[in-house]
Amino acid sequence: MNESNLQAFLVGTSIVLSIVGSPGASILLLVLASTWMLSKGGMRFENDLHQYIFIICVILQARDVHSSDYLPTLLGPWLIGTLLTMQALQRHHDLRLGKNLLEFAVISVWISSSMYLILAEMEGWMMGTILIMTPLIMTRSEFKEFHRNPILITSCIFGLQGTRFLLWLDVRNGSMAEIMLAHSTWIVVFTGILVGVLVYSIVGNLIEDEAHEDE
Amino acid sequence: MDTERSRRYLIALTIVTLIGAVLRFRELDAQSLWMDELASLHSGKMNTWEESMGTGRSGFGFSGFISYQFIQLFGDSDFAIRSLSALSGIALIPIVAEFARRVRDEKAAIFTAALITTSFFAIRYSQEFRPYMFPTMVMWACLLYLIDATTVKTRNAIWVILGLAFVFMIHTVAAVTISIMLFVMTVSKFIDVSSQKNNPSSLKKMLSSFWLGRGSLVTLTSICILSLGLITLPTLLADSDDGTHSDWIPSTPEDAHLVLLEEFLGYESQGSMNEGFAEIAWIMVLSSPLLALLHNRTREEPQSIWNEPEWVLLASALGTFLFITTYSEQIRPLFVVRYFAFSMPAWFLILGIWISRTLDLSMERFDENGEARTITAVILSILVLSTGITWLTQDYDYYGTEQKTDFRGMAEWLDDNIDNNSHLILVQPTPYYWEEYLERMDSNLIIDYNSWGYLQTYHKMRIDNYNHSVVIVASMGQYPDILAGELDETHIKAEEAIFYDGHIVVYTHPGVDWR
Repeated sequence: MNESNLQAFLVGTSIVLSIVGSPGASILLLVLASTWMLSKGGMRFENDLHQYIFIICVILQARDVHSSDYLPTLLGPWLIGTLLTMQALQRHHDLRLGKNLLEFAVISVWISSSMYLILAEMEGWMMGTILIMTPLIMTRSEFKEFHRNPILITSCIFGLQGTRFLLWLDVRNGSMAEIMLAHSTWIVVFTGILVGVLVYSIVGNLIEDEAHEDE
Repeated sequence: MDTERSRRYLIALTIVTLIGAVLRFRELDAQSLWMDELASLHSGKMNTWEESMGTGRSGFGFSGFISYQFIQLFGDSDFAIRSLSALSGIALIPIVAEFARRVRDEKAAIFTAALITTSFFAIRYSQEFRPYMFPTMVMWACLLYLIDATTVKTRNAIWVILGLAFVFMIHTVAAVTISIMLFVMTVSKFIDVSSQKNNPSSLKKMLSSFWLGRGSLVTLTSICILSLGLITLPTLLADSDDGTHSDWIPSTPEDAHLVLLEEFLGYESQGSMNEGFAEIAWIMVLSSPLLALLHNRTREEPQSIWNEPEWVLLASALGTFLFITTYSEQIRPLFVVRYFAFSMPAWFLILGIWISRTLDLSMERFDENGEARTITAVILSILVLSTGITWLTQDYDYYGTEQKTDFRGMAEWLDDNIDNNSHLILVQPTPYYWEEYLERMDSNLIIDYNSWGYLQTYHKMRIDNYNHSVVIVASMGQYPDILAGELDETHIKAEEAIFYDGHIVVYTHPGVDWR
């Protein structure tokens, strides 16, 4: 078993631990695998499957911290997850070139802020800006192939979680009593669907690539 | 199997849909809203959409969200709010017919449409402001699209996924029905891909064909709903563990399948033409896979048996039925007939396809162009329509017999007979049911006390010490005597007004004229 497989095994075990309800041990293994990987200067796994297992693991970690209201627990995995997922995706999407990295950041921030503004019912001119800007961003980001674009889907998921974070900041600042159930419900629905699309996209890319390699 | 629709099919379907519209809009607001409808109205009339989605103690609040938006658009009169279900029930007729036509043929379509048009169940829940007929219509519209859609690149793919996700979140039983159907559709598709004669050379290519090829929207939708299900599982399980919102459900009846089919097709009544329909329908449902197999084998070019529509329809109909009866047996009662609304079209589709196959098997040899079979199907459909309409309007007299708790009538009586300054009004179980109608009448009456079950001690003390002589007890259903028993012995009954599923009783002290 080579190093990459061992790293992937650690990440896989982290997923299992997260699912069976041992978040502490799970995140420890994830950190171990990430540190090992980064210490080798590789910045990424050697094959696509390992990369995608890694992304699923990060998403599961993000899910675990939803219930936490302790800032470092909420922010830490979110930021680490964003960074590591971008690294894991760069092989396919040339994040180093900056184009996709910028797209990733723009989509995440845009969805976070616009969803927040919609849910928090801000001023009309803000809503108008959202309505005008959203089609422009969608056109720029080739949303027609959305289901085959993991980076776009991941940025949307992070965007939605960013909305939750902004709402949570409101709660901390006292402008809201609590994150409203209705807001959370919509975020959960869209996140659930997007995670499904992400899995479809990842598997689709893997299958298509491998079939292509066979040819 | 999307072929051109014939002109006579379109005419027949239009006529059947119009009949359905008349049956659903007939006396739509003749009766008062009952308890559950008023609860939906209560959610829908909240100040904001966030409040309308509720507290999350049961479900996710999407039905409240829909009620809120509908009331914002069309108002809150009894007719307006019930029209959401009525319109959904009408739209469901062509949707289900089209489903039958695409998976089978026009004979199945028109017979299925006739069944659902005159269905007692479909009409009843098209006349109530509750979250059943609208999600059922959305769900089957999405499924109709899903059976034909080829790839995920289809223009409306996102709406299909969002539509099914929305229905999934509205009701746990809808979530079960959708999950079972998508599972069977995905498995059927996988079997179909793996058993094709020109199947791909390698496993990877076969998987690629399954994942990305024809019908990939089914795969994507299934994964999205699975993902949504996993994320919402804690809430669904917490709901399942909490028996408080379902402790009113009685134990499952012995012949649950017949009870269900009688609701779908119309109650049996002595001398009625539809007597025994439920038993016959049950046999038809059970024999449908055998009939599909037989029909499949008699074709000149038999196709894969897994492509037959019966599997996914049986999964929806019997799968939901078995889930609910097993859950009721093992965990706690859940057999409530209206929970089968989401899978109801599947039962009718199975029956429609059964008729179509039987006609084909029995008449194909001497009816080469299919004309005689079509005419027979039309005659059978007319028979179903006429029998159903006769039963609904004459034998059973649905519009005269079916009653709902008469909160409207009770509120009118209170407004006409009670003076707020010299009476205490005590209601059970909750004041909203009466207040809604009193508010609409611009009445100045105020409900003073309410309670589920027994009164709190300080309320009882205040009532007993009340100087005026009259206490009004307005109650519904099985509760009328509980509050009355709480009054002290000096009160005597002075007046009683009986309403459907409701009472108003006036108590006073001896020698005092309550009026």
